[in-house]
Amino acid sequence: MVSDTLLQHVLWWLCPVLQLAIAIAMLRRGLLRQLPLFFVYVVAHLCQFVVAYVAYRLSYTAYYYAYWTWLPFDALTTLLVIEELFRTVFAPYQAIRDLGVAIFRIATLTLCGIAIYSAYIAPGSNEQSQMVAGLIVADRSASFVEGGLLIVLFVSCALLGLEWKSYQFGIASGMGVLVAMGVIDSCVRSHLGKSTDSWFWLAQGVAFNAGMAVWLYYFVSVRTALHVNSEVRVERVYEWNCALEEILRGNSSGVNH
Amino acid sequence: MAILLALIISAAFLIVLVAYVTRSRSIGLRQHAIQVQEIERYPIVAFQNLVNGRERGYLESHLSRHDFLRCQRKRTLALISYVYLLLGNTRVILRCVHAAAQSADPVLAHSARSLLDVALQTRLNAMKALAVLSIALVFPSIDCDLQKIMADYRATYDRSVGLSAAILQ
Repeated sequence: MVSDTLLQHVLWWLCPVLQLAIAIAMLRRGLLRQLPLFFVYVVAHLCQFVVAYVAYRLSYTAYYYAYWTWLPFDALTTLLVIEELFRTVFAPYQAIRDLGVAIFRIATLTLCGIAIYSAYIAPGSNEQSQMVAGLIVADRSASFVEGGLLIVLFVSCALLGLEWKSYQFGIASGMGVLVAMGVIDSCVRSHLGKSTDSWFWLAQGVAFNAGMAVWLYYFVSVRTALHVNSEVRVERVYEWNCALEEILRGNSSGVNH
Repeated sequence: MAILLALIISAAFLIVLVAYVTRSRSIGLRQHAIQVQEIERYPIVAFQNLVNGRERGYLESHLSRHDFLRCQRKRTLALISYVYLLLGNTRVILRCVHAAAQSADPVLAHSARSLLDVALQTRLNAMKALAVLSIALVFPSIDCDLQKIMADYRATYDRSVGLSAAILQ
């Protein structure tokens, strides 16, 4: 399970470095109050790294149990982060605030149903251990639900014309990369079996670090540019008003006819 | 195997979606000018005629069943194109209002935020109307009530006038 290739070691050690950098960037930007669950997610992963490393040093069995015990907690925190994203993205819009929560709940229930059905249909039998097969399918199902929720979030925002804050978008896109690669990885692993183990771990490492890198990029370069670019100048507002008034006059004359 | 393939395709779709949204977002950030002129004049009278129940009743009583259904499908198609126009207009308004809501002027920012809610509500109702109209296209005998969307559009229109007046003062 634990290969000693240099690349895997680099990927493994890169994770806590990126996580630590994200946590520090969040604290420095004062985003802890806005995204408490995401902060918990990052810190929990940092703690998990320490536990996994100690377990790895102890024995293969210890690492095995540490890894698979972590999965349900990881799935839960990821789901909570996505729920936090839904809440924060819809929060500035009073008219549709409740809609965000409703969309999240309906989508979660629907996707859970599909995930359970797909786990039942394609349980992934190419495993020596029935337990590992079950855990990989559970991991795949959780990633599927998370990925589906992110698709729903992206599509809802596009349809409703909602504006993302830079860091919200960063979290969603980083999570999207991480989850999508996780689903592909689990699908390939459950179909081809143990022979692809080294690739499975390598792909997991790449996916996780890619997601982290995206988060770090958005947290470090929180775009003040967005506000600068769209800052409304008075002359611009007058220009808009003239155009709007012309349209409105046209509309009211149309109604009066 | 089919399930696994479907899961892989949906994961690949998510990656493509992320890439697409990132690209369109970065283009949006680079666009300095927001064009209110992009708003297209909305044919309210034509829309009102199409949602008018009396006209529907007249057509139903004067045309054969087959002709009425055909005519009704065409009317629904016209309505769909109007609702699309409305969606496009609300998108432009939302872009302007998002920018105005970040203004340093508190009056302008407050007015923009209140218009934002109305515009969003209108957009949401337009999407609901689109769903209803899609069903009506398949089953033209269904009588869909679109008076709500019309009332919302009027509300957005009135609030826009209010906002313009507040800013120009």
